[in-house]
Amino acid sequence: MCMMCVHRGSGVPRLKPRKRRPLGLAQPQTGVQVRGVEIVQCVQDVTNSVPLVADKATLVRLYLEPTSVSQPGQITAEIAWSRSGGGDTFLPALNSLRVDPGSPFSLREQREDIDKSLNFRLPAAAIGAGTLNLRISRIFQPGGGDLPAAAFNIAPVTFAAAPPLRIRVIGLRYKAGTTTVTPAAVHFSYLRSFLNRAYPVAALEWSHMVVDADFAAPFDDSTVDLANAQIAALRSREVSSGVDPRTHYYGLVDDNASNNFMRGKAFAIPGTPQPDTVASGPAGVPNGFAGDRDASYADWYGAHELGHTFGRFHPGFPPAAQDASDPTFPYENGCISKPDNKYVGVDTGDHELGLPAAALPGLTYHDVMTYADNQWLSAYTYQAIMTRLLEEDALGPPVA
Amino acid sequence: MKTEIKTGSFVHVVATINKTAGDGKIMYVNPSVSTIASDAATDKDVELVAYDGTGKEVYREPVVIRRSSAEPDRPNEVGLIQADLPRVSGMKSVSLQLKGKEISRYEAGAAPSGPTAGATFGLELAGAAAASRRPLRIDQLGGLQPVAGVTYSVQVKPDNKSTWDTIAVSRPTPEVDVDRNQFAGAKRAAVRVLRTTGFDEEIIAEDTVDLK
Repeated sequence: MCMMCVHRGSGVPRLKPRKRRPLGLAQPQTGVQVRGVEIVQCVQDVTNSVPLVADKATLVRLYLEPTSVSQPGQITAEIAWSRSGGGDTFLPALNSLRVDPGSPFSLREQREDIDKSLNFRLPAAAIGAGTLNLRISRIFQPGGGDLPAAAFNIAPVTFAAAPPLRIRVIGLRYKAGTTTVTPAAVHFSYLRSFLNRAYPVAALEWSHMVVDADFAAPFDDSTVDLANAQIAALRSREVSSGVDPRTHYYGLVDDNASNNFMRGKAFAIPGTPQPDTVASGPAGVPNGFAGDRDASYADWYGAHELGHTFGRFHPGFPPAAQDASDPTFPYENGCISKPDNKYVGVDTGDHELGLPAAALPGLTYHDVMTYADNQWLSAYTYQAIMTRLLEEDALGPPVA
Repeated sequence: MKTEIKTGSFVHVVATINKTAGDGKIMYVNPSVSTIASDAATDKDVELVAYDGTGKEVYREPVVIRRSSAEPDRPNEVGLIQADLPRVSGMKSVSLQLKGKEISRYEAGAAPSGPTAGATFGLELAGAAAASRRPLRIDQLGGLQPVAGVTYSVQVKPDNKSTWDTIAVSRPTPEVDVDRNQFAGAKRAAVRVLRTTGFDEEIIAEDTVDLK
């Protein structure tokens, strides 16, 4: 009950309820029109061609046609989902949005701004392996009546089971003069979250710890080789002691407030599944590094180096800064889409780190294997890592 | 050859190689029990060669040199080697050879005798500046002197986990600090010290420590 309401006759004047002006339809015979629906986990196009991973956080984005209403107003919707012949379950949008037929946004604008689509976070029961059916059940004004909706068919989508990302992160603690430098917890948390959000996995088999490094500051180009050698030796020890041999190991080296930056490197870029390929990289506060202004750059930096261990090469962008060792990278300028804006990324967010869901424009964001600003996974890298993860998973238990 | 994970008795060697400069270094040699076999191309110029105690060659194979992506601004001449040699009884040394010429050698040392009785472990009381990190005290191994070709690994298994965490690898002595705050939710932890010559290994001390 609204706390402002009072009983009749109490002597306190009641608030006059605001009248909501009902939205009308531009063409009553057609209903509110829908431009498209994307079901997205990391990056997607309007035909939903990027494969979906079972049990991975998933948003449904509904794009309404603003000119199909007669006047400006708030609008929201409900969808219904069902699995394998089961009944419908109704799901309200996370948001409402203002549509203005006099100043309509384009589909591109809608796709590139999470606040210009109606967004639905699918529940766990909807995203298990198998086929999901979706339909738009209601379009309405918040607190108002339903609006007729034009027919729009959402093709069924399939969620496929994917193996976990098996990852162990080793913080390498080193001496810089008399100071002992240890990666802060935030860097592990950001890396873990980024991998969970951006990699084609539903879950991480994650663990981390900190050990003393076999090197000290100041650093040079060989420091990362020393880090990788130590991580490789440590990995071998632990696999011999029971750790799953499909586990990737990554060394994290704090940059000591930018005083000791260790450039990252993977031990190799294996052409075949080779989870014993280790990598190491730096961690620190970005302060705008590669367009990053959150609490850590260990996230996308680590995702890049780990991408190498899954066989991913450099797209060659920016051209003066990076070799073009991946001749089949499909998008211009290292972006996550071609100039046709086919693909848009979506970060489903992490409330524990205070990271909201966001749309990532395909020509603003760059593939994680580039050295460019604003890093995310393109559909190309996403699917390639998915393929390699499946191959590694198939290595299965060791054979004598 | 299909890539597969194989178990067995191996010697895990990590080394660097710079073919242009003609140098390299064997950095870590430890026993291992699994390897990932693949058809990655080996470099016939670079071999790992193992010998027994009489100097007789018991193993020789070219190795895979792993290279990170070369970058225009940083020519990367250094390759890394990570190889699991099949362990042959009597192995005492391993040699990294470039075109038949040795550029680095690892020799197993003579391990000093271990503690005659069960070792007693404990965590030293910490100073205020390092409340969570405490030196591991192993009474029977105190004052152990480094010996060439003998190294120590220290592993910890907290009481809420089933696998061993390696907190130190290939150390000249088993002196190590234990970060109590790394074992969230654990009250006690098993700790063990492994001593290796690179080819042979034994657990020389094992005990349980209180993490509180």
